[in-house]
Amino acid sequence: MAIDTGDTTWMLISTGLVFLMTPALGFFEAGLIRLKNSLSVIMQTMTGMALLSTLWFIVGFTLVFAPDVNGIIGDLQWFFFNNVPYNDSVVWAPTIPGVNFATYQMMFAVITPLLITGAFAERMKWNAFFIFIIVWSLVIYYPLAHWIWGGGWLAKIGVFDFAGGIVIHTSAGMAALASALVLGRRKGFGPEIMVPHNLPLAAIGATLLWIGWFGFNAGSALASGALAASALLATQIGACTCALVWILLSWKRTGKPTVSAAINGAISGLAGVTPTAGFITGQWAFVLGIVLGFASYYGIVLIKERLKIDDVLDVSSVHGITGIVGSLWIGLFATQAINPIGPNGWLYGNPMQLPIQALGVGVGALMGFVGTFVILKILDYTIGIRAKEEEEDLGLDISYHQEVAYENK
Amino acid sequence: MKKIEIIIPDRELQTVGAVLKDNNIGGMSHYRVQGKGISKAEPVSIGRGTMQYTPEFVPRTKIEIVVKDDVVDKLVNNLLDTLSDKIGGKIFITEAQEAIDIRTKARGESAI
Repeated sequence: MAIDTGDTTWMLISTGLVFLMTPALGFFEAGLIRLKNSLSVIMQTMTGMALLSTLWFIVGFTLVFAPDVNGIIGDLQWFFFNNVPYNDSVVWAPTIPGVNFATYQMMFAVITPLLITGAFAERMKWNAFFIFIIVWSLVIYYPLAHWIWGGGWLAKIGVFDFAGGIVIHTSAGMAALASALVLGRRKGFGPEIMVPHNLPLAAIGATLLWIGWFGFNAGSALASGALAASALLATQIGACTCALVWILLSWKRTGKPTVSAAINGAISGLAGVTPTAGFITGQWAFVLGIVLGFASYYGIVLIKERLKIDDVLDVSSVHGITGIVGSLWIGLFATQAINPIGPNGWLYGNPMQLPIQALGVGVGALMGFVGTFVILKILDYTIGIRAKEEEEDLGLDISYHQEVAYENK
Repeated sequence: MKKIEIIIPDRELQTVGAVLKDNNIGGMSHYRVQGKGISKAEPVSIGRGTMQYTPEFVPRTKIEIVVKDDVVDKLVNNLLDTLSDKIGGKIFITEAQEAIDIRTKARGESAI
């Protein structure tokens, strides 16, 4: 099909917007943790950008989106980006250049493994992090993305995931839970180490994530036009109602409404609306945001407070639980009035979509949790994954990067 | 010579500074300290606004001055009159053995 310049314009912009989310994630995380480790998470996101873009260029794109081999993985015809058309489209996005589609998807492959950094922040060894994100991409993200987006076996069954609720948020969220369990709690786990060191920086990060998410979700229409506009609306209203629920819950539970609740509520809403943004109406996104708010807030209360699992930035709730809820939401409230090539949910006469979505979520959660658990255990027995006690005391910034965030001079 | 240490809430720094000025005391140092006593710290939000935590220590400002013996009583009385009795804080007075001005090499009271 002919390249459409309007579609291409929007997709080039969306590529930039999704790119922005990775450094934004670094700022968000850095602000919410302690000063002495704030550079280490920025370093992980910056290095991840370089490393995972390279990996995607060499082998990632072809494994995910090249023609399917037995429903499991793509073949190698686009190895090293060879033969990816720049003046013609690929089957996944018929009106934009193939290289634009491939580069847009690169940004997703970059941010997904880096979401997990929020769980192992403040105590993961640098070299273990470096190897972990490579292995995680090859073993978990590429296959799972192929299964759902690249025409693999889950796609053939009819699992839908608009912009990555299963592929990205469920898998990374459950990986976060596994990471927190394998690594163990930070030294001195307790309230006094959980005071954010720079909330304005976290708020800047959250704001940049939010605007980046318009490229993430509305860009997943892979074209400009009605579907992109509808997905953008769903993204905005879902984020807002979720943030409102968080503000009110924190107000009620801790006596005062807090900035950290407002920004985490927004991110929870954005993550949860991701899988379903291109399948539901704005009205159902409004309701979804409210459900996501309660689910993610009390998810943190359960995982962090009651079970005392030290998922530092609560990735398991903010991305994992919300990703699961949003992916199941498709089975309930999706409508072909919004997206003719998407499914109908239960409310629109198709009750069978819900178990299909549940299967997809189950596979994504299992891959994310078990896969991560095994990878980290192997790394732990070989090179070790946890920083030494004195490195943790000194802070990872000095221990691994010989830099400090702010010099008090 | 006496060294006077005044520990007060941060917001009272200006008040104390004005009293010192009225008593013709030209030099002072101040810094932020963390301490505990009768006052309870304000709770802070932690863990994404899902929890709160009351820190063990309270932030305070500590002012240090060294003055001639004969001004101590009037100064302390002025401070106590000016600072409200609702303010938690302490004043400590100790003997200062020697004072030396680095530039003029002067010693004793003429150095302060």
